[in-house]
Amino acid sequence: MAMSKHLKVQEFIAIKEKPYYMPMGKEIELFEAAYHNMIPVLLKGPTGCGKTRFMLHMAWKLGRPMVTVSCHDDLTASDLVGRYLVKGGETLWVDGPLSRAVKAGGICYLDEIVEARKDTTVVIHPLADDRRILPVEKRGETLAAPPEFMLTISYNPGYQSVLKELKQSTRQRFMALDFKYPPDELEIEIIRHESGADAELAKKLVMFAGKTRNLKDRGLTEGASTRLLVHAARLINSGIEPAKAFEAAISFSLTDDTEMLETLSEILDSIL
Amino acid sequence: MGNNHPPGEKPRECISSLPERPGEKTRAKKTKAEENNRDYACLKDELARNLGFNFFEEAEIEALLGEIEAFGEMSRKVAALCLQLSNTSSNLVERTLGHIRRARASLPEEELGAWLTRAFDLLDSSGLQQAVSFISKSDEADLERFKNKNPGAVKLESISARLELYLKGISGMDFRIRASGQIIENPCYTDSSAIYLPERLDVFCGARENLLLYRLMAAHKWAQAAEGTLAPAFESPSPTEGQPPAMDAAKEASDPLERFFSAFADRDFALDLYNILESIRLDSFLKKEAPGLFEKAKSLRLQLLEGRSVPDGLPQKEKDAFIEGLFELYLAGGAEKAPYKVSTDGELSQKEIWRKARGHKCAGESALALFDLCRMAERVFPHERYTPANLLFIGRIRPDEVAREAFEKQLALQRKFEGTVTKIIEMPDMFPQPRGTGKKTRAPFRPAKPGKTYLLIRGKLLELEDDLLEKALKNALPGGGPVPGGVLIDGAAAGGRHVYRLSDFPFEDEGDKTYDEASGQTGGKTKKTFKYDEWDYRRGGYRKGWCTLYEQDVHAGHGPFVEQTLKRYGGYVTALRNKFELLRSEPRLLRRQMDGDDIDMDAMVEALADMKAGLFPSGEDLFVRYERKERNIAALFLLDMSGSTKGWVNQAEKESVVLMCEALQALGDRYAIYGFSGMTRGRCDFYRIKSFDEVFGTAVKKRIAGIEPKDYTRMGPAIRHANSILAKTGAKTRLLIVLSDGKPEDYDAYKGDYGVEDTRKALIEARERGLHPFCITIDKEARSYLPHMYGAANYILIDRVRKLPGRIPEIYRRLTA
Repeated sequence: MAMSKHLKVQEFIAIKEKPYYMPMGKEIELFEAAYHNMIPVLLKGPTGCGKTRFMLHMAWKLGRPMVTVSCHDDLTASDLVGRYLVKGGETLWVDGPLSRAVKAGGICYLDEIVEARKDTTVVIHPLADDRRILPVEKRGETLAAPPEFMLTISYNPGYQSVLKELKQSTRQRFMALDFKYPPDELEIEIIRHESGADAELAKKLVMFAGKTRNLKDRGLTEGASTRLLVHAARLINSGIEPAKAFEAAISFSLTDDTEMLETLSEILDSIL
Repeated sequence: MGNNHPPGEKPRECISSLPERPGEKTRAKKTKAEENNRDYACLKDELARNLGFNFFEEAEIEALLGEIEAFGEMSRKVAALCLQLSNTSSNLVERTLGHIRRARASLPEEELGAWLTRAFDLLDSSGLQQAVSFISKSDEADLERFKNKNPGAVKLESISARLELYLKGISGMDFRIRASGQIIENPCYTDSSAIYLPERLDVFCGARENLLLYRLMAAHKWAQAAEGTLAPAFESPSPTEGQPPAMDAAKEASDPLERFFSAFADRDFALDLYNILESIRLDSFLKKEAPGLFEKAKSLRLQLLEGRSVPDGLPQKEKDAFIEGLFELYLAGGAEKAPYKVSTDGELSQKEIWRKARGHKCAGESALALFDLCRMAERVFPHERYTPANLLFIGRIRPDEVAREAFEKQLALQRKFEGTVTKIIEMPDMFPQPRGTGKKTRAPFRPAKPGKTYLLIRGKLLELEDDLLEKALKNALPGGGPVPGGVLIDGAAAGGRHVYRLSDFPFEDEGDKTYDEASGQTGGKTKKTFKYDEWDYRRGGYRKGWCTLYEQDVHAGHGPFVEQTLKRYGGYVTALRNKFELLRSEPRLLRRQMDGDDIDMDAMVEALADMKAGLFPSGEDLFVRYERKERNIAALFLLDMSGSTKGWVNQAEKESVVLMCEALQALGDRYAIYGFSGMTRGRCDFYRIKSFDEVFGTAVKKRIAGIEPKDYTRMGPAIRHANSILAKTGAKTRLLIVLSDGKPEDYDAYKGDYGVEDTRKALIEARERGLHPFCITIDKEARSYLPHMYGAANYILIDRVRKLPGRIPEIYRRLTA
């Protein structure tokens, strides 16, 4: 078909190298079991705790291509399923990432699903139950998902807003994996692996992160994520002065509030 | 009306109440200077009247007023201060004026202003006694100290919030910061939940160092609380060393720490020695938990060490010198250069003691070492009594405070437990099934453990989740204690039965939360407490933390008020809904877009036709896109629930609320409804009728029916609280709509100009925070103060109460369209 060559594949990642992932519990086994039983999976957890990395790791492990869609509040159903474009006086159908993942039997990962519009989330419902179909209304056709296809979504329950709540009808279609920030020893290990930092620095980073996580809901919406810690460690490895790196990579990312920043720098002062 | 004022009515016999003045009608036109003069004039009038009440002669009053006059620019502030004092006793006025006169002789103008402000602050925060004692310190030397105040001095008040946050971050524990009220005797201590620190620190020249010292103090107290300094647990000491004082008593007393220390011959000596021993031990804790702070504190400690000079060389008594030497060794971190090396025999060598203390693993070891050291000290320094020294940032342990806090905690826990247990008893079949098929619990089977105590009640075992609780219940049970029918038994006697926990039961945390109420952190449905500043126009400054506001739910009313109202306004409601639905923004179809959800067929056909005709297509805008323009509005309705609204006004307010709810439901804007009333600054009530996150359901409807007139109208704190609620919504347009029926007024001095000015200030604050306040006043006459109070374009006057429900949706529509 003419349109097959127009398939955009840039969102598809066929993972060749093993992405580093340090398991915290039985999540790898659970995910594999879900995959083989065709159960869609919901990943929840705070930002930067390793959800996306876990997905990359699993896609590599299961040997499936993965397409990631970062949801935003203007994401429409046709952004996911596909739309007609006009090319040289003719209309042309282009599949959306979801359709492509279904056709290719890959893993579709909808990141931060709550950000998407409510009417958009409903599109995935028939795919996420035992029907495993994707109706493409505009073309009047229905795509049936092959057994290799898997749907995964993620969301961050930390933002306690009524508007950002996942509907029961959506969430009850998924098996859920709860991600947390790793325990101290593991987090130190992860930082060292990701940034090449020494044990002393990694320990300080984890200590500071712990203190910021204490301040969650006391002025911070979220504590420092593992990702931020890795950033800070990398900056320091490139020769940036630790205090500056902590500030730039962690404190300033966490908040704009001057008073909070002062508190954070006081805490930092007490650690470094 | 008798002696007690009916709510909302102006209390007449209150001495300081302002009379209505003839000039009021024209005030809006007057210039600011004239206004000031007039304020000043009536301050003087009031003062004169107060003095008159206290049988001052006309001439005397004249003389006093003349004296005030002589203060020139300051005279207004002085008059305000005198007036406040004269409310208590007119005799104070004379004395105070004398002091102010003396102060003026040695203070420049602006310093005098600051000095007076400090007096006002003290009056507000600590009461008359403190203020008067501050004013009476008008000697040259005292004022010199006030004048030469260190620019680097740090006030606790200005940093306590940040310090609390800092502690929360670094320790993960919730400490409250309080002023210790003492500077020399005992600058800082903790009762394990609150940390008491000096009101201001000017030990160092730089603010940075003083702040660091505050942090060091706080961290030291945190270490004490976290590391068990305040509750040393120890095995009885080695018996060979003779009988240690009253060990068993110490274990069982309700005030174990005090018992422990008072068992020593020289209590104060033991107390300070123990504190230093523990501080030496806690250094390693601080080094581990806050390495940066510890490092920075090192140089601070050395500076403190250098500044520590005892006037006459060594302390007089050897015992004092011994403590001083040990403390300085601690400050120096064990370094040799400590100036005091008390030459005693090897037994009491401080270096040795320091070395040993560093090796202690827990508070119990320090306590044991304390026994030995005290015994030796008795031998080496016989018949000497220790004079407590100022131990700077390590302060002095306060066994009484620790005991009080422990008792309060225990009491709170006990009350909560009793409350829950009573409910369990009252409700049959309240015990959830363990391992049952019922949906209620999936709790795993928990067998009773021998050696632990459980409460046996109605044949079921209940876990006591806290040692404190166990202690409290042991005192109360058995014998018809607070939990009837309950017995405490040991786990061994329970024969491995299933143990329930309080958390197994659906109700919890509704109980008494008094002991952490002050922090304003209580969640759930209990009252939340907030403190707000109030504007005092006379002194041109805020009274800090002046009003205490309680946020709570309105008691649900009975009767179908909402339904009846809807029926009564029948057709109007339908029309209203339609009108508001029109305002609602539907997703709009945008045509001829570069990119979009679907193809714009018209554009497409046109373009194709153009191309076929050999024309250049008019554009590539061939798509349609849905765009949803959202109304990002949050509106908060604030209802006056004062006693004066009784009758039609209250009825009209309630009906307005119902109609507004209907309209806003149709419109989809976010809205909240609150009411306010109260009596005096100590009890400003703020009633929740509907919060932003609640839906307009049965609970809200019941609360609307429950809106009823309460007490007085103190508008300032209510508006300030509404401000902070609205500010949190994050909506683009934030609207505060206040419904009231007249002048702000409270039982105390909050009336007349004072109330008007505070309300005006609160509304200005709202505008500064980016809110749009709008006031609807129900009054028959257009009062002259209204434009001044609300701001000319920000209010509307409704002269007939019956019109209100019909008008309010219109007003809202106009405001938001």
